[in-house]
Amino acid sequence: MDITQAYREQIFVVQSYIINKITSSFEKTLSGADCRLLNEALIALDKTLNYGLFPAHNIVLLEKTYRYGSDATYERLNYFSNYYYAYSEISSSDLDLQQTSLIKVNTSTATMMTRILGFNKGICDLGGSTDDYYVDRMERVFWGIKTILKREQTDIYLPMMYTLVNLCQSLTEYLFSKDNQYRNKATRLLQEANSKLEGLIKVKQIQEILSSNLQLRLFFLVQKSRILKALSVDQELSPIYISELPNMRTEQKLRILSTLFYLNRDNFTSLFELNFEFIYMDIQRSTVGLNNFLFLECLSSYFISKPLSEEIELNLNSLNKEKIEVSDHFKCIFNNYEESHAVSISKDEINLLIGYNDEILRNKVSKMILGVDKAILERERQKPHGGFEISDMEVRIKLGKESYFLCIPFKSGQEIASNTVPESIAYQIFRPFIHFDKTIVIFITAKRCSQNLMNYIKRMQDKLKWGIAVLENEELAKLLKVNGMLN
Amino acid sequence: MHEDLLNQLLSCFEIDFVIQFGNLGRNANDIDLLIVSDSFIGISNFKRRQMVRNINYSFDALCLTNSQFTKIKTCDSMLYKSILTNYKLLYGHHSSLS
Repeated sequence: MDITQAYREQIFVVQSYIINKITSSFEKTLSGADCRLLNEALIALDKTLNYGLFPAHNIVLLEKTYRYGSDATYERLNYFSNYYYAYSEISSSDLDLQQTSLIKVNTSTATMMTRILGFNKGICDLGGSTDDYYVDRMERVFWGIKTILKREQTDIYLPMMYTLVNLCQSLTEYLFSKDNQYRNKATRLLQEANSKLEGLIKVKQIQEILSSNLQLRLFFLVQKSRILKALSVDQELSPIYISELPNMRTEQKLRILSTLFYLNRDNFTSLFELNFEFIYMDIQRSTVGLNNFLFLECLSSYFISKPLSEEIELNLNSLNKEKIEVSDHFKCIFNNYEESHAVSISKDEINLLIGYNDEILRNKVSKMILGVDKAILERERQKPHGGFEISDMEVRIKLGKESYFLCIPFKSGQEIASNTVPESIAYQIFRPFIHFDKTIVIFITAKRCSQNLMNYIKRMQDKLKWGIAVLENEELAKLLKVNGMLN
Repeated sequence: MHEDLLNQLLSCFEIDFVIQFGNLGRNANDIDLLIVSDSFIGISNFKRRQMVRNINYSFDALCLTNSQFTKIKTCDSMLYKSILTNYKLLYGHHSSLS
């Protein structure tokens, strides 16, 4: 099997898995086990997006899938109640309850981790009251860990170690993100977790676990290096080299490989190539699950190490059911649209349009939109345009009996240096489909779209049923003129 | 203040009910709202919060659809319990909560 073909195949498998899980979650709440697996699938998807050499519409579909998965697992966080109850459950003398508690803590930690990864990609946000509890209640997990050590419960040292390292992983991920809301608290928690880890590795039984468990040892080493980086501590870690993977289950092999990527990329690449066929065959024999997610993570790491020279076009689930012809509704969206066809436009008027900057264009167009409260249009026109904005204007609009979110990305003539709008801006046009299931996009541009961009948009209208229309150049100038705005 | 905030919310969404919960004594810039509306169907959590935050008030909003609210109600979640401990219905009917 060709590695690129396997990559394509696994991305589709993992996307389908997430969609199926989400669809079934409409009927009944996701179980803890579902959440655990979904988080693993999301981490694999995140890694795939990190590779990123896919066409814009593929990236939008993958990000939309990520959004579905992350919103579903986040819904189950329940104010980090798993952190809250961790101390009392771990303090009990019931070993099963203690272990279950650690598993539940790990699930919440992984959910927060996927949330942070989603935040880094502009798919999720941080800062709600649930997120506050992530930092406010983590201390209670530390109390539980302290209790296990105090009682010398060696039976659960292994899961306890994983819980602590997982917490560190999510904290470092947060500290590497651009969010600042919890920076001080997260730093303090990471310092505390790090000092616990320092203490733990001096315990004889933990040293034995680390020396016999390669998977945990590598995970610990990677996280230790991230902790030191997050806490701005200079420390050189000894290089790691693995000549061959031990004879173990595929899941463990994949875990080792996915961690090795961060420690020694060349070593990872050669070992992955060496073991690829065997792992692939084993995965083909099993039902879709954890191994597919870990395999996808490794495949993404492999292509990050050895990128292909061209984008890979993926075959993904489209996630859209109905198609709407947006341009058929222009007369209901823009004032005097039908009358604008009879207007003539001079070359000077086109140049005037092309000379408008983004703000002027947005202002003029917002005054021609029908069926939306003026105050809302005004607010949308004035809203700050940071990296987290999906498109320049987003308003709810009724077309017939149906409500849609109308998203309008603008491109003024000043923003586009070339004669026509290049295909490379397609992601900005498609991006609203990540966040809105029922949306229409009208791309407003002073300059004409390039033929490639127009063809791409048409292809997506047909293939993915995306409701996209373009209002460009002369047609836009006519509409502005008939509304007395071309001046 | 609440009336103006509500009017702005109602101009953007068809809202079933709005509850202020948590510490009701907190200052106006630090309020927690639960907004339940089927206008949120098909919109990401990220976008829901961003849309309500575009309203010129500083508050933290939990934006749920009716079916999501029913879920947290029926599974007796910590969130639902915490809402019931201390809340003020700003818009809609009390019956929605029981």
